[in-house]
Amino acid sequence: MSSKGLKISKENEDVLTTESKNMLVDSDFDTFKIYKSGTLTLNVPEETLQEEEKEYTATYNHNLGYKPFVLPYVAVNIGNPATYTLNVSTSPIQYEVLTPYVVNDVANFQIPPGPFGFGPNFIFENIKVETTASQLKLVVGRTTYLLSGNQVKFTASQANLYYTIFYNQADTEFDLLS
Amino acid sequence: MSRIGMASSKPNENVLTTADKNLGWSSGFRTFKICKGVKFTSTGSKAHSLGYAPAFAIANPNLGILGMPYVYVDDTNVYCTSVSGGDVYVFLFIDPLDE
Repeated sequence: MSSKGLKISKENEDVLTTESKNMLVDSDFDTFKIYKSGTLTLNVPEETLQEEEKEYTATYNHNLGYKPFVLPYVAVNIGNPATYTLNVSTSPIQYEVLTPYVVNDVANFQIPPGPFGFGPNFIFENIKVETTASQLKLVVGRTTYLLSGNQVKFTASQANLYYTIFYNQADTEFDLLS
Repeated sequence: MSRIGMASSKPNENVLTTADKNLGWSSGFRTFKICKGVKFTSTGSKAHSLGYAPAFAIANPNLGILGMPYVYVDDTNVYCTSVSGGDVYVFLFIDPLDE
């Protein structure tokens, strides 16, 4: 630990002797520092598919040169029932997405309780947020496995991601206690 | 807000009178203080040496075939039970998890 720095302790704690966990401010440690917040919008077209995997991507070029920490976390969203309805009685099958939708609202939603496949057929949209050393990516993928010549018609949709990129590097090891 | 401390406001805001949301930084508020970045290349545990369960955040929540990496802590270790999306990095905070 450094012997010089800025420290402010919690009320009723002696800043010279208290443990680090009782500090409000302690320059021995790192903090989250926001680099950029904003909105990524991805328009996905209407299309009819049979047995395909397609991806659509919107990007923001942060150009930090390393992979930054980003919020929100976005888990895989497989046919989130909050955003879609599936009508299998029509031909082609209708996959209608409630649009526009906010990715943050469904970010932690994982495999839904309801069916996203029926029989040997399989249909879903998924949402990913990926970061690289230069870009933040919002990716919407469509996957269909349909037998017997079935087709599915996806409606057009718009995904909006409210993101925060931090200066903090996501993929690094360090120890500020030693 | 405490009566003694330090604060800085956003541009064009009076630090003495502006609403808390317009402060760029203030010692009157708790902030997470990052003390370690821990890397998992496989599932398992790593000692954190804090003696209490610290707050934490997954730094790179890569999706794998098993979904998001699952991470938890206790007084001794930080644990990772899935690395199906690749190496997992975890920020550990000096701040206790239960405060």
